Amino acid sequence: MRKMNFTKIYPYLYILPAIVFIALFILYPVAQGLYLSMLDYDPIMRISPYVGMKHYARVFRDPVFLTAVRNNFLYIGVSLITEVAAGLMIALLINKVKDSLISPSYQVIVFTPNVISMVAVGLLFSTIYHPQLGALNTILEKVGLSSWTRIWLGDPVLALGCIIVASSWRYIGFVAVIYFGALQRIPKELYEVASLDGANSIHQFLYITLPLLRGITTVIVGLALIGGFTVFAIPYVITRGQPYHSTEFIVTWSIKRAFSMENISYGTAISVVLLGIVLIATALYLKWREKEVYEY
Amino acid sequence: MFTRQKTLMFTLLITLITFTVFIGSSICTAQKVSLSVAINEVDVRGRTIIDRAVQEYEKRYPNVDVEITAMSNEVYQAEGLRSLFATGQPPDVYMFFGGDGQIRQYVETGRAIAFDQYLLSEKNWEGDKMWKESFIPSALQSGRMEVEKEKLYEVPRTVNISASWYNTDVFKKVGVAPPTTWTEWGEICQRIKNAGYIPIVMGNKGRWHAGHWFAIAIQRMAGKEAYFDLVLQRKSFTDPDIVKAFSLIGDFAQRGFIVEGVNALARDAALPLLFTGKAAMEASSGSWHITSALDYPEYNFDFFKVPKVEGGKGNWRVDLANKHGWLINAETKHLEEAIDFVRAQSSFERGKELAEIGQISAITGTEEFLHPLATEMVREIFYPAPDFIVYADDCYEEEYGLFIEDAFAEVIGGRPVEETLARIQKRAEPYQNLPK
Repeated sequence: MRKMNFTKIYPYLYILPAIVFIALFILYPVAQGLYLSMLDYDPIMRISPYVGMKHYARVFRDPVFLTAVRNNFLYIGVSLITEVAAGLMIALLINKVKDSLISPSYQVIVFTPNVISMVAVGLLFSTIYHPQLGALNTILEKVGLSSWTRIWLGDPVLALGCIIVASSWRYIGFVAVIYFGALQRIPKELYEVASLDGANSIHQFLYITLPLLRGITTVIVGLALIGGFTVFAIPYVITRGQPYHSTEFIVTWSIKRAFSMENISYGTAISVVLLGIVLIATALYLKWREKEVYEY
Repeated sequence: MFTRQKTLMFTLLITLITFTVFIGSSICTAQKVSLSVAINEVDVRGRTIIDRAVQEYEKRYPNVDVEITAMSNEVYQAEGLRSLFATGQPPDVYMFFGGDGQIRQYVETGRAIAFDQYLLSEKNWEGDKMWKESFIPSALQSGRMEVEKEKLYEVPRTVNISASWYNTDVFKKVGVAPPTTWTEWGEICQRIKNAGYIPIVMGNKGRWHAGHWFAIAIQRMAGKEAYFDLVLQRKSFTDPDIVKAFSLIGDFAQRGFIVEGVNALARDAALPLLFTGKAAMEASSGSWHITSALDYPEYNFDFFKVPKVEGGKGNWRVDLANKHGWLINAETKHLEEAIDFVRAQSSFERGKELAEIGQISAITGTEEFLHPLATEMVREIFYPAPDFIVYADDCYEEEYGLFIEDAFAEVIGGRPVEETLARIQKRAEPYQNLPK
């Protein structure tokens, strides 16, 4: 009898746990979600008739869903610009004092908001934005800027801005720390040579720092894109979609339709549409990322 | 030396042993009965009372382990309880606020037992009388669905009666007294506003609080049946009486009597304005207002019945009330244990403790322990009422509730009443069963 040759199957055994994990926790739920979205599933009434694409037809006619899509894109656009700009600025400032003894403290302070849970951030900012008792309006009144006080979460436009501020506050530190790490990789010699050639600090920033940070910036953009489409906890805690659904996001609306409004299949259809949006956005982003990235 | 085959065999052996130990321990713990209970009581005081009953119960029945899943009422009513049933591991016992729409679906799908036979055949927890005799008869008063089916599906724990609550210090400073008509209410609000206070606080971020006020406004203006017709998809939002009813509150909103940002504030975030004397009234709230106020000993308060509406069709004596109690899942495999659990929760001691924390206990003999205002509410509002309406969010089916909650939120937020209701009616029409 021929001895079994285990050598050929060992590689597959090693990747088997990962395949099982992906199949169980990613592929299976997606497949089940697709199936569920084509039913009218009600676990309490114990019915699940097949309805085909009925929910998908409804999704694209749902005014709240369209508002949610708009909000997600606005959120991604504004928070990306804010987080990248502010994160980079903070990283440059920390980089200037990196050789001092207290530099690690600056990094800890900057990164701390990122370790606070999103629910806690939502609760914190809900309190700050309270129209009568919140810190924001109270401080504005105390410094003589009463005319600037607002019902921050009661105005449809302002409420969205408030959510973006809260979210950006949490993520700016994360972006700053990533940029700080990337700045350490840029050889000092490049700046020294540029100085000798007469380049001032602005020229050095524009023609050395920024191009060499392009690689890490594309990573940050990718993370922001995926995070932006799946944002949930902070807006749900701060506004719950109020006022008048003006601060709904795709995931908050999907959750509400599925659970609060007891239409699990419709909520699932919304999340399947979200999956499609994320896949398209990711494909476009990867295509854009194929552009030349400077190596050093 | 270990070869690859031996390593693989060794790993498989360890896995098998671990699995066997796990299964063995599961079998051992399976001798004990595990009773799962879902509750929407997260107030520390109320939860402590439930836990004390659990301790007593587990002492009397040491073979039963009680596992409690607790959620805030907003989460519980919206998605929490449904999620528990949807996961295929539903609770054996669960709490609910009585009402028509929501509880009906649990009853009609076999998720709730009828208690009638057990109330008559079982003794109470103390064993000194029949179980039914331990309840205040009016607390056992059935909801519409229960009347229809002639059965009781929910054993009451507390009764909630709604009223308007006011800060007596603010009223004294402004020199006003509780109104008896809606017009008077508007005049009082204007005087309070002129004096620099916020007349009315509500917190509609969770989209349920405004519904309590609208429910009673609709009943007062259009009548009880019109209210149920609206929430049960049988009446148009543009019905003239419904428009008039919404206008009662819309008018207050447009005159600036309601706290700014009402839809941005949760009730818990809005009420401190009342407790700290910056606001004068909470327009409509259940008797749980008393429990909320216990944390603010400096807050002096009283209640008044929501005023009459001049020219309104509704009986002013009818009011907003419901019960909060226990249901047992008809599919439970531990029916006896579940019934004993509910008996433990409805003991005299637990009822007394509930009364002492400001709630209106459903247990007979606890009346003397009620907060003085709770006693007054029972005397002035509960007993004289020929009938009750229940809270809107206990009535409507959740998908249709989107339109109702939108209407409440937009009108209390100050949007024009007729235009808002016409727009919402257009969206809601395909879901309605309007009489032809």
